Amino acid sequence: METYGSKPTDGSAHVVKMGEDKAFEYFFHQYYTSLCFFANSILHNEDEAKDLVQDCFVKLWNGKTIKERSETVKSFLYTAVRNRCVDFLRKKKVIKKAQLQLIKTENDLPLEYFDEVAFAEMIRQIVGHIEDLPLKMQQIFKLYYVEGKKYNQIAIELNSSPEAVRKQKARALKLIREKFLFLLSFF
Amino acid sequence: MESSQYQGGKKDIKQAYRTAYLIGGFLKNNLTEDEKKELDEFILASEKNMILFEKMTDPKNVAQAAVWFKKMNVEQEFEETKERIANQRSKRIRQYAVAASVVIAVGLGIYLYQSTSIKKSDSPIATQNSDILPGSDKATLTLENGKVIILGGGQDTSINDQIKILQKQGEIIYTTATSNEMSYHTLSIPRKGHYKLILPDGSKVWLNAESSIRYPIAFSDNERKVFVTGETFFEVAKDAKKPFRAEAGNMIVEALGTQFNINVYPNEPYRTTTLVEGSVLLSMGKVENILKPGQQAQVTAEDFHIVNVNVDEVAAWKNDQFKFFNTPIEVIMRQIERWYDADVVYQDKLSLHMNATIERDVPVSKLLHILEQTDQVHFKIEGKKIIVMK
Repeated sequence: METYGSKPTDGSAHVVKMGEDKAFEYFFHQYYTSLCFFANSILHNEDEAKDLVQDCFVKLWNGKTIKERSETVKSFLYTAVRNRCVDFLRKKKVIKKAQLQLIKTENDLPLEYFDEVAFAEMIRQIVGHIEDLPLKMQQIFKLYYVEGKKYNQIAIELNSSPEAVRKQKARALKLIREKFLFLLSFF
Repeated sequence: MESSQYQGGKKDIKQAYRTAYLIGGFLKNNLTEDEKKELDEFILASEKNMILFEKMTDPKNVAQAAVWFKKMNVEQEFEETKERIANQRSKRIRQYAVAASVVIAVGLGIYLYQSTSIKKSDSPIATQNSDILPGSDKATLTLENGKVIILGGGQDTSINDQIKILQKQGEIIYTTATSNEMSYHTLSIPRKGHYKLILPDGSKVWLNAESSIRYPIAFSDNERKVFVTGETFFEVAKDAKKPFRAEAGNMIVEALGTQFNINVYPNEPYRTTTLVEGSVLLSMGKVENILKPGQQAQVTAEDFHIVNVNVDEVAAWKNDQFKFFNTPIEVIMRQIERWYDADVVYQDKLSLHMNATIERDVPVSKLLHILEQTDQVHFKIEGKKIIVMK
């Protein structure tokens, strides 16, 4: 078992609990990529995103949260990353503009980025299960990943225009809506 | 619907997790009836939720995000973070230290500050905090029924008794099997990837970046036939009764037991087959020729001629090296494009041949830095772009 640094907070320097080492490694592998993706979706800057997420893991290591249960740690990490991103944008003066835009479109608290959390979390959960996704999505993924094609090219190869894809989606939504209307008719 | 995420009131990160779970389950098609109902309610709770659902299920968004995830080198980042913890230096201190060291280096001509964690300033080429990491074990396997399996990273798995995937070695192994029907699989390697395949007869195939091979999951009684694109290295298992044929378009390489390299990238001036050991019969339509070890067939549209080459150079990639012997700069840059998934742009016209042996696991800045030692060429990295200058 390797150890990689003593925790400054535990008083006795150079004492590292094996358990925390393992937990740290686990959380890193579970969440590092999705946190970077999350940060990048706010910052649009991959290097800055990675740097900032690494900082948050250092913070996790130095603090006590690492002993908590998994979901608490996850929330700690997402929140820490979100806060760092907001700080970063604020310093870069990007935030004012963004804030204005958000306030215009939302009536609730801006800058929480819950949609981005949801998307990053969803991808984290499905990325190991590409083969379980709808066939069309697999094909698109393959064209993207293996052949590095642009989306318009892919649409041509799959014999469907982006518009057709959109229409297909709209149909699915319509089904859901109809189901809802059906339910409504009972009231 | 009170609990719905965007019904006003206080949002909660836990509801974001729930949304992720529900929409992810919708894509994987494994939601229970109750969960489906919950998802429907969520979608219909507001226009915003509907838009979010649409965004999160858009194949383009999902595929792009999944590719982004797959490209992350978590192991390397983990090492970096451990180092950061060991040093307990915040990023800001690190940046000042780097800045200071650069000033000192410029002022005194001595590079005093040394730390392996400063990847961004390893070489002056990778300035504006951009460098490109090398490729790694990466591939996708497409089964007969169109299913796609992503390889690279993760745990070892087996698809059935006959197919084993060793993720750590970047290897996929088919064990001997007999099958009446011809069922084909395709192994495709993206840019910035490579992989190794062991066919059911024990023949080994190395695949370079941007390459693919299509092969039956069990060979027939009288021949072994595969189809390739890009660059592949073969170590064919001996079986006198079943000749081994590798087809790349109209170029067919037939072997009994031998080692050879096929390079058929469409952006190279000609397609090549290079024999390392044994002998192969090369045919294109009616033209045929037998190659001897050390010979390379250079194939143009309908004809080929045979030259002697340095086989070490040709097959270096399979041993994780770049080897250049009097190699034109354009050929070198095309190899870099594939292995680093970079786009090369020439700012100046160059006519240059180079000699070098470089490991393939270095960041691109290091490789370019070595080439710069000739003082005949210089580079600049901007994102994915590599600019070549005099």
